[in-house]
Amino acid sequence: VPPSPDRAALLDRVAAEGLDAVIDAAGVETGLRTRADIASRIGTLRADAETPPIAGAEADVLGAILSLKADLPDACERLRDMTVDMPGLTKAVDRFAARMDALRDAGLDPATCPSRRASGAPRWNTTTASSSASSRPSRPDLPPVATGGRYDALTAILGAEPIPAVGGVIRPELVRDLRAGGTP
Amino acid sequence: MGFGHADLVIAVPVGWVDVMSLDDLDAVAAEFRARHGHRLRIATKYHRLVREFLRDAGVADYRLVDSQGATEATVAHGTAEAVADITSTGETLRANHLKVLPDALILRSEATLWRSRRAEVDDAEMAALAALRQTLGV
Repeated sequence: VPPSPDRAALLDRVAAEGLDAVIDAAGVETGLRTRADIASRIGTLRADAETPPIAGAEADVLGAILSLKADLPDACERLRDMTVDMPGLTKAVDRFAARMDALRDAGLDPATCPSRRASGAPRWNTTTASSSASSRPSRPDLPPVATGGRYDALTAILGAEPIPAVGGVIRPELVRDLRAGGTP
Repeated sequence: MGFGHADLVIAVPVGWVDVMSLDDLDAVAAEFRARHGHRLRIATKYHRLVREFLRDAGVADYRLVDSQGATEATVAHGTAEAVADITSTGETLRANHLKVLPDALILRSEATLWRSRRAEVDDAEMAALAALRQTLGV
């Protein structure tokens, strides 16, 4: 995506007049965010503007991955199809398939596990591979009993070394209700 | 009633020349946290409205700080980096060296007169209401 006209105009102005002049013209500076902070971001924006856009086919595949919502075997198959356009994806799809085998070995039918991209804050799930949920087909109105996924990007933002991070949550109130033999 | 217009908006320092939209605010919030070691603070009285608005806009790395008055001065005092406050002309914000983000209009409001449909009204109150309506032209 090319930079917005406003942003392009800003970058042109900074290039022509220098950042200090542009900030001086804007008015009195306040707050803790410093000129160095702003200069750093301008640098990021310029690098961004100079980066050529990714190829159309690649963008289509990324869009398809981000909107993928299916049970695990189905999701895996569709990801496998996408490796035709994006061979770099192959290893990740192999790992996806291996995890499904592990689930099967543990006595869980992967076909009963829905899979979707996490819908949390966009910044945090940029490399979150997938999240799986165990929901009950009989009660689609209720949230899943358990959800989990990869949180590599989140842990990196929180300051951890890049590590494969796995997380999950079990909703205790739903487990309690199910054990009690029904949900309100 | 066509007067008393007031908008709840998000405003940032005018010196933030690189911030022109909520997307910019989101990016800057993440950078701010990385560079300053704490989340970007937004001072406001209207916690629920602002939180819901920012969640829908995908802005995550911020912290609301409570301000029950003189919100626009918090940035100059160093107790917040941005504000979410009511403004009608933007004059007070400008005087405090803040600018409104064009796509961060959280709520539009104006003076509104409400009347109970069920309350008992006697003749004197009816007359008072008529006089009020005539004055307001509604």
